Amino acid sequence: MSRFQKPYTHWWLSLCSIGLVVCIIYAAVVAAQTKGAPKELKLGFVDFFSGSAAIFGVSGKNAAELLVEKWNKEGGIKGVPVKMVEVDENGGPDKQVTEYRRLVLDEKVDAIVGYTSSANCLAIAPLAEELQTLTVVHICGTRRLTEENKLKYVFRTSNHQVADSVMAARYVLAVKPELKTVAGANEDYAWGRDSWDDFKAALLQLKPDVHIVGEVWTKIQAGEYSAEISKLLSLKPEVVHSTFWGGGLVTFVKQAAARELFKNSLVILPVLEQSFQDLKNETPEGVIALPRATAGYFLYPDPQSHPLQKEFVEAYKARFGRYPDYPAYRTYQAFAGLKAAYEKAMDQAGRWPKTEEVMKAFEDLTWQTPIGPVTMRADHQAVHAGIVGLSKMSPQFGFAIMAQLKEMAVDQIMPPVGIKSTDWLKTLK
Amino acid sequence: MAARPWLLAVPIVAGLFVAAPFVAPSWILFILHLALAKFLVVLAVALFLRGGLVSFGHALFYAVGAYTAGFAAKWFGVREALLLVPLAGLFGAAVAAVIGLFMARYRGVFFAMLNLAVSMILYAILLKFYWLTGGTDGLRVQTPTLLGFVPPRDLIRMTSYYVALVVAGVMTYVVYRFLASPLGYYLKALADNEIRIEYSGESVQRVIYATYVLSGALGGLGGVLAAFTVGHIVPEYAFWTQSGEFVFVALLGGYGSVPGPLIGAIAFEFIRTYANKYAPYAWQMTLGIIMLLIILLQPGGLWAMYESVVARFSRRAEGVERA
Amino acid sequence: MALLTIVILDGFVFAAVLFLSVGLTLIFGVLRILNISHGGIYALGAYLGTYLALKVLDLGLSPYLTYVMLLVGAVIIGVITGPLLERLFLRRVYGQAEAIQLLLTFSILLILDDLIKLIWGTAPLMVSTPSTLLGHVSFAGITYTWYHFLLIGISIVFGGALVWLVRGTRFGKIVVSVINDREISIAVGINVNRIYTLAFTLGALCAALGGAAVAPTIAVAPGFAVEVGVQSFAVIAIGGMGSLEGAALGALLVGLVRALAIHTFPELELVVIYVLMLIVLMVKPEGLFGEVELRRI
Repeated sequence: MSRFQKPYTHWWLSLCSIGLVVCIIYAAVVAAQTKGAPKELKLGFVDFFSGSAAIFGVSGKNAAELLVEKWNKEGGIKGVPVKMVEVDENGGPDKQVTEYRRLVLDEKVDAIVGYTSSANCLAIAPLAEELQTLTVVHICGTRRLTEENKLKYVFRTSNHQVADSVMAARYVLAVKPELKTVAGANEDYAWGRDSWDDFKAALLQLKPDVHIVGEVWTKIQAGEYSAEISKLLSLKPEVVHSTFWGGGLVTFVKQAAARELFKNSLVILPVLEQSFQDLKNETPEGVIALPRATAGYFLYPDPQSHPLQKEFVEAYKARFGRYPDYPAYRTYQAFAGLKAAYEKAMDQAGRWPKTEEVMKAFEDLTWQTPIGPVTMRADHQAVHAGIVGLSKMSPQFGFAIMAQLKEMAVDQIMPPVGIKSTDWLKTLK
Repeated sequence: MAARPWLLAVPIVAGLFVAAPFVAPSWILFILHLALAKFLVVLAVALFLRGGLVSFGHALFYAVGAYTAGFAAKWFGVREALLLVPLAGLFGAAVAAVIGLFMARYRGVFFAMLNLAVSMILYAILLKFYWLTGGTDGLRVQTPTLLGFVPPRDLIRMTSYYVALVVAGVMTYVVYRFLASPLGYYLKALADNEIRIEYSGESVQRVIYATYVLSGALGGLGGVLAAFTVGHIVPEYAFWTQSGEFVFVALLGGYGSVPGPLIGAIAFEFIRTYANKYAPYAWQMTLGIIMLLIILLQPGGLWAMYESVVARFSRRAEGVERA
Repeated sequence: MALLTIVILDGFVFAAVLFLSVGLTLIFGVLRILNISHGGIYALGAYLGTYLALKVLDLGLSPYLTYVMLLVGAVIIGVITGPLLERLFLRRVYGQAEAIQLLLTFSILLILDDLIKLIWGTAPLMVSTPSTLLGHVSFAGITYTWYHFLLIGISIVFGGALVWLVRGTRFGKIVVSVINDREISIAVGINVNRIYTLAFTLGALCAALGGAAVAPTIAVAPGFAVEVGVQSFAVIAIGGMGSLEGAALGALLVGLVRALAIHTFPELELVVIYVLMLIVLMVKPEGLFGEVELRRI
């Protein structure tokens, strides 16, 4: 009897103790995960993955995937893994409105990050308010997004185009103080229109005797610019300002360079930095180039002395074979800001926060990125510094980089909270 | 037994549509709502297809209707459904009345091309006059108010849906009566032999013109309803590929009947949404292949397929074995 | 004066539309079908030409070979899609309702569009070597690339060759007879089916050549052919559907008018093309060089 019972007793004992240990571990794991936390944080990511703007959107996608994977390896945001649902921004604002609805109602995402095109972010902003979904706009530049509406659910984590225009105006006058004639070549939608208007306003405020000799307007990502280039050549301006971007900009630069536009005029291209690696050695020298008004690019701040920058640049290059460009940095800014907001809200609430708590935590938040700090304001517009320079071929890299770099501080380039850009530009010094 | 299924089918279908907001998830409701709006324009195109004419320009009326709502919101701040819906139909009919005057003289490919030209002119105007029309940015259209009241938050979309349902129902009846009238029969005869219509004393121009005005009103109504449901309109509403989509749906559903376009519109919206979700870069191909199969195998569209299935079963039921 | 020269030169650079329209009008003339998928064949030609040219550059071969590759790419596309589309699809809808024919070609366009995305991906392809290799030249104070003039030259030569083919050779006379009366042509012993296939292939070849020729000046991305496609409809409607000379004149007119608008009233750039089309169609519905269609009872 005893010989039979002993194994039985041992068996039950072992089972119970194992069960107890398992329960303890389980309880510990559950406690480590925040109380009331969802199974996963589902984020929608919207950018251009097809069409002429794809070379632009792919950078953002790469940065997003890099970051999300890194976070999930570390356990997610306070223990909750992040799942990304990617949606193509190609196809026009009405398609984007439908896709936004689908992300919220069908995919049931917790928040949406994205929107490069100014037309699209203006279209989805009212929808975000209607569907009460936290939306973080990462790149879209039109100032109208944050100035014309009081935003509740929408946040923009990077400077808007007023900063680009003001930096361009200040820099061109520093390079060419006796400037007389300027022409514009821009795309006929919110981005192109607002950027050109603000550039003109800033320039004329800083130097009222400049003469605007002409402007050409093209469709978004038009791809064919011969007639427009002919017109620019015939106007013979000293300076040409153009906010073409992505595939359209690459085509424009190639077509214009072949016809010596860059020899005849000093050209300002606020979005040129993104195209450096696509143009390779076809980038003309001495073009005023910006990564829009972003606080840095892959060489500035110097990765060797800034660990966060070094980590990001090296990881990005190793994985994708390219150096991160400004869409990659702005995507980093957006995701890092969102994560910081969630963490701050969680610390304040002591459990997984509701959307409204995250929104509240996001306001007046400052977070770190590889190129410096970003601060979100109460009007849901974030601000940071910006850099500008002249394009110069680099034999080391095989594409152009920025030379004669100048960094401009926030108060020099972005209007303060509560002041409309159009009014602020009139007071520029 | 032949007449009865009708009496049973209509209330059932109507009942399903009326019950939709309560049983269907919001995303499905959105698709249904959009399908109802586009159904009207497809109906307009189907009318012409019955008459043997293809119109590749009905996006013109669709855009006219949509931008009626858009401009009303932008310049006058008006978003009243009971005002904008009839207004859009009226504008659509008015534009059709003007254009129909010379359009009625053309047939075949020239009819298609002229329609295309006029709709592309509207597209070009909407696109280029940025400060007037918003250009490619488009215009925002808020969900409409009803009799001046803004519906409570959770009922807003449901109200909009019912407005669309009522309009669709009314216009279905109107088209049904039109097709049953002498003009409607002459329209069908147009596809067979135009000369005989003239010999029998009716003016072909009149038939085409009347159809054109009706289709213009339908297009305008479809446009304004679509604007209300999507909430954002763009100049591409007048682009020729939008017209192509309407003709596509008309053939998909079957243009020989009134329910055909409805089935086609619903099928198209569902196929497009889910093909887009699972294969974002192959959904056009999916639609193209489906279309090819329909053209090559069953040009009568989905409705004809349904009818042939029903016919097979009713033959069986009557106990007649056909070889 | 300088403006006029600029406008004329810009107008001539519209060679792409010319190629496309000539092929389209040929197909319509012979088959009486408006081939909406023409823009898709144009895009295919551009993609394959660019792809082959890029391969040649990757292999480090002479950059002048890129011109050859563009031609080869276009010919491959023309010779493959032509007979394939005509035999497999178009042949089944001859004589059917117009709506069905138009929709068939529309569906083919949709399929070709996505086929391109599946084969070459969604990112744009760019090869600028062919257009920059020959250098640039100044004219009326504006710099143009020699490649632009090469394009003009090629399109004129090609257009002339096509006209000679149709008017001067036996094959051309057979095609004209098929255009005029199909039944009599069959009665006389002409293999009409083969003529149809050949005509469609020729039209497809034109489109593919147009795409490949233009590709070095732009970024080839999905959807780039949509605008040009619909402009080619306008061109053949203006010039007369079925008339080669009409297509050439129409392309020239549309190009000039568009260039003039860009330089003077940019807002009207797109409107003028379709207004022109409308006016021509209202005044002379069959187009400038088109033949009046008799109503057959």
